[in-house]
Amino acid sequence: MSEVTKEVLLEVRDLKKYFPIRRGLFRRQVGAIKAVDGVSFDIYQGETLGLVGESGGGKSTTGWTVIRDLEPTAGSVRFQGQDLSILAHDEMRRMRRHIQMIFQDPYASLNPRMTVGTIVSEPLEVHKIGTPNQRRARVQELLEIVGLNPGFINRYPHEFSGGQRQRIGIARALATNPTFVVADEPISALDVSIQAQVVNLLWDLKNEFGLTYLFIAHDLSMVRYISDRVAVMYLGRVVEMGPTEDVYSRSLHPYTQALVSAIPVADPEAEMTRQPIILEGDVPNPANPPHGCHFHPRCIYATEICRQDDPEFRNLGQTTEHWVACHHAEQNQGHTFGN
Amino acid sequence: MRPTDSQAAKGSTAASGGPDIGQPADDWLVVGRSPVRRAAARFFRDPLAVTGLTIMALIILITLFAPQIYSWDEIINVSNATKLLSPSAAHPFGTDNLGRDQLGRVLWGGRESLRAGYLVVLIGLGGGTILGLISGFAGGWVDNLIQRFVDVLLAIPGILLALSVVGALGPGLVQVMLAVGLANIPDYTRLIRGSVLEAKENEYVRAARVLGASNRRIMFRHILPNVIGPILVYATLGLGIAIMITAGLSYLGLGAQPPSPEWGAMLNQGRQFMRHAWWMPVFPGLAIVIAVLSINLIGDGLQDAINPKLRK
Repeated sequence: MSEVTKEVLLEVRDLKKYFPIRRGLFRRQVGAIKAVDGVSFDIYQGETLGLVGESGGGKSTTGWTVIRDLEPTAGSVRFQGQDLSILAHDEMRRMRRHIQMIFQDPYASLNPRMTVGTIVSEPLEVHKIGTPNQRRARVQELLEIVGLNPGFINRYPHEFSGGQRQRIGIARALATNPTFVVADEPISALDVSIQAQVVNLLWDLKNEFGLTYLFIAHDLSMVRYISDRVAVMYLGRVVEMGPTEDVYSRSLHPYTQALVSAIPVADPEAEMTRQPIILEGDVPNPANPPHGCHFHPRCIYATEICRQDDPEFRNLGQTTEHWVACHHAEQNQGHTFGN
Repeated sequence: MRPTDSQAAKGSTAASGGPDIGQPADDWLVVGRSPVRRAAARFFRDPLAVTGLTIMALIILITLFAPQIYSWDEIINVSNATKLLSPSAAHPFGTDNLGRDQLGRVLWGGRESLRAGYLVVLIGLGGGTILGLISGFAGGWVDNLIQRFVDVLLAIPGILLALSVVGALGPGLVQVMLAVGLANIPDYTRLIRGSVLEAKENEYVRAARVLGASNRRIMFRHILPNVIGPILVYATLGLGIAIMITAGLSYLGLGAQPPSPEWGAMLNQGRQFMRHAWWMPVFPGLAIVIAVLSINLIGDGLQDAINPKLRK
């Protein structure tokens, strides 16, 4: 994998995002959906952190809260040592040229009434970078970088395919030369045949421009391919985090084990013997998460302590940092998967 | 392994002509067809809409040249000798009870009525757009304040509001335009607020915010262009109604005052002589009908052009 210098670019500490549930005549708050419930992680300069988990696990909310498109309920996000959550509105706006985002839906995330040129140059215009002529040249350069014909500058988004539109979105995200890019399920809306192209493009761009990614996805094989480290989220919490290979081949958390066991294997013989762990039930209601370990109602190893106490997020790695939030992580180390 | 050359132009073969794979040659002039242009193309394929537009253009043209055909004096000066003449070559629409040429008055009246209609719509659209944008975008107490203000305006029937404005400021076309325009603001505000609420949830609005765009930029560059289409349709249809209402108020004697040749006022005057001189009410009435009809045809055409999925 790529070189990762151990310099922390983004430091997320105990991040929480609750959405209030209001009822009745006076819109009284009767509860809260704990979409993100105490998430902590670091992202090092130049690495890709994959964030995986089921739908409704709080992955995207984490991404949005990290870049402060949603205001965090609690916790801090430090970017290059600067706490983003206390920045004033205008300061945050200026900060955004360093932090960009790639969106999930390439059809909805491009304004249908703007030309490709206007869309890609908007970040430059907003941050007052360059003269109109320089911006135009930059847009053409960007289109070329993402593999589009620079002559498409006057076209409209509806004239492009999904993969091409996602490239336009990527060009827009790169316009201001950001250091950090949040990719919010950038490939899940694309055809499988296009997904690899876009992931490869993201990979190339990262190496070329020294980008740092927070890569949110639910496709585990793609995440394994692009990420240096992986964090697994369940019900608003990170349950396991570590180097990609450790998390995939030596999963410590039963939830991760279930996810990994669900990945189809390309080798037909191995696929025959693959025994996916089928999780029972659904993700519990995040407004009313289970007591103790959030995962215990669906966990095959759950014991009394899981019903009682919140597991601590511990580092169990020997040579690398491999964090897990499970009471029985030590016993579960035997369950490895060979894929 | 960047798949550069797989990115051929898709779905735009007409513009690019052949596969423009790889090297961008000299197709800098390739200009995409904007949503506006596509809507325009649909509009001009609709025969009814084109008919409406043609009639409206003719009406505007004729009323523009009315002063060249009839002088103001000609249509104002009273003459006993030409009183209540039926239509003839000299007076194609006949003359009124004061001996004035009716054709000249209808043409001049068009200037008054159309201008009144446009101004009414402009006031409603302008005020409603600004209030609706702010209301929908800001949300919270700002939204609440504006919506309660709109509620108050809506609670008063439009015609009553117009009557009270005229009552306060005295009768006259300008007062009526102001009154009807004001009465229109709530409708536009509601309409635009609704569209803004929907549009601001679009992912591209989030994208603009994330890349650092200011609220004003988001409102005017991202939201407004995406909500204005249906609003323009409504405004076009509203133009017909505005012309009718101003004519109606003039008919009641609140709007244009004699000797001004406003259509509604002429209709009112003609009503008294209907049994002896049918041409007096018929021609201004016809003018109103034709103008409103053509506007409605344009509005329907716009509706279909902007929203082709809704077409029956």
